[in-house]
Amino acid sequence: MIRLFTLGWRDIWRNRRRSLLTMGAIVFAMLVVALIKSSNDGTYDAMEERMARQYTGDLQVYRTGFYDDRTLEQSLADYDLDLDTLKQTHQWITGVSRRLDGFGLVSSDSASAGALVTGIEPSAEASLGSYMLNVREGDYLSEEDSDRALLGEVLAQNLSVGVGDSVVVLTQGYHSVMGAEVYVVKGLIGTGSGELDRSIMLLTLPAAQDLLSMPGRYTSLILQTDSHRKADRRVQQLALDSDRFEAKSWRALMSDLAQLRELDSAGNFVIYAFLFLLIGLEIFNTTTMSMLERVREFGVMMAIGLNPGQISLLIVMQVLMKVLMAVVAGAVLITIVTGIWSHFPIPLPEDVQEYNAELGFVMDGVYFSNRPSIMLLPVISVLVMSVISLIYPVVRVRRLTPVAALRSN
Amino acid sequence: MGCTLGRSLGACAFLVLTCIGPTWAQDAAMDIIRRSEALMRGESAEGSYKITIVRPGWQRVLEFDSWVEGTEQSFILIKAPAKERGVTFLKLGREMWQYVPRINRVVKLPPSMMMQSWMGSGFTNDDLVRSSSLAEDYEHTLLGVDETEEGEVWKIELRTRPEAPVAWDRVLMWIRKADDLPAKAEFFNEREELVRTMTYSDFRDVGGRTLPARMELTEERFADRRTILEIESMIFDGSIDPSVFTQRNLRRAR
Repeated sequence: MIRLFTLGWRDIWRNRRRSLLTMGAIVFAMLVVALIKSSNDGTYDAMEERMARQYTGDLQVYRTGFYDDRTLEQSLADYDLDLDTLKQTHQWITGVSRRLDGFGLVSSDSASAGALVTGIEPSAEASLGSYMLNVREGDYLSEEDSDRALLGEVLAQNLSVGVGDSVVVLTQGYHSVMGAEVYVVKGLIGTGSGELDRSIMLLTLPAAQDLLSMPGRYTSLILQTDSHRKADRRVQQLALDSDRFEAKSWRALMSDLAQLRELDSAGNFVIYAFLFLLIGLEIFNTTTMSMLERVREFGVMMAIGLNPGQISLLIVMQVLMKVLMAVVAGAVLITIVTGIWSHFPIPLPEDVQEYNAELGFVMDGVYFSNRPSIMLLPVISVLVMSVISLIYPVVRVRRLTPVAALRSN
Repeated sequence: MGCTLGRSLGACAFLVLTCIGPTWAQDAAMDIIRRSEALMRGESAEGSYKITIVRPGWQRVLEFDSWVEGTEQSFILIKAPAKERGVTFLKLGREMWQYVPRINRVVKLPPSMMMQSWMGSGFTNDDLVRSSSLAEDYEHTLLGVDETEEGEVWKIELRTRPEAPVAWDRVLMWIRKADDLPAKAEFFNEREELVRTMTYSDFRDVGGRTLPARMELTEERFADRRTILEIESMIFDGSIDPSVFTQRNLRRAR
């Protein structure tokens, strides 16, 4: 056995150039695949984390039915959920914020537009890192503002109003009671999302509750957690009474983001498959060649007492050693390259960023992930390819008889 | 020869019948709708109404007065509940304004809001100001006569005229043969889906003519919601002071 190992080791270096080339090709393919996957994962991870933080929070809790129907009657009351108890029971909750989402007609002297009228808790939203903080002009809301509002910058433009001007809001509030109020524009927000900038109007929670005739009520509870990746598990852990409450993770709330990621990953698989097919052929070529050109040698070995089983073992060992060396080298290289690159995202040009924002995605650069999982695909694929490419030579060797082998050219 | 003449005459008769057949059905249907609309609407009308909005778990009642002149001018004044008292709506041509006394502002409602719910009811802004005409904005086909508990009703299909600015792609109406009053109407969108159904009942004398004093609206999408419009009183074809239909009146009306 040891002797076979030694023999195999020597065989690798007998044709040094070919072995190095094969190993080089394997390492290169692994690196390319790992980099594609690393940039894909890294970029989407960064995008998901930001969008979860800025828009949805990690989790949202609603009154059961609100998510599908969006009527104010299906809102939460302050006495429904004790937020302090909730935070104490689930240590992973790092922040909570209540939002009240309504709809209204906002008018200036010259124009009117439909708007999403949202009541927020200014300081709680600030600690979540919400998009609402992106004040382009004027100031962010403070807790005491009862007659002040923030407008999406495009909405403000459509209404031809600026900071300091007043707008009128008409709404159908709780139980369809009409609400009407005048607010002074305190600031304009630019979120990067075209849709929000066109439609959002922010008030403080008490002001919105007043406008919509629903004191002490809100529509969604935003929960920030220790890790947005665990959000789906956290939904289960919340263990809320499903007849009354419904929790959704950011992943469920932004399903188009998850779909985009899947679509992109599926597209990349075509590239992976192509690369690995090439590498597979390369491994197959070297294994088959190193067997075919040594048929005579195998004949001699069999003549001096080795059986075909031992010879196939020799081939298997030789190939696996070669591949393992390449895989280890590839893994080390991938770790180093992605490790360094993960600190240096490639920024996207301004217009590409704007295009993404128009589509509703926050993506400002290409990020590289150095998660160990990016290694999985290249390593497994190379190993599987090697095993497959070993089938033919091993079958051939098993059929060899010493006499025929010695006579072959 | 005689045989040929007979045959030609037969062919002619056939041609004439097939040609005027549909036209006659269309004209007849149009006449019925026109008579019905004239009865329901009058040239001008003043009225007091009550709207009951029924939702799962709660309901609310609104009372309002309305003034209508033709299809171009209308004015609405909310009288109850207290929180909304004094809110007014004015429609002139295709424009609509709303006045809210609490903030002392007049707001112009953009055309995009015309199909939005009026005061939270199943009716749209467009329904309330009646900017479209069932007789003028649609093409009519008489589909037949149905038998109901209250007698025979015409079944008429209304399809939007291509250029008409109306909300519904198709309306099916059942009109009572006895008095040309509507019994039921179904409204379809451009995907041929039934969106809502209006049922007319409580036929009695209102303002000198027999009318359905109760109209109930149900929406397909919300099976558990209903809106009931009841006529309290009406005056038809009286003379309405033109100053009613002015922006100044938005703030003045009480």
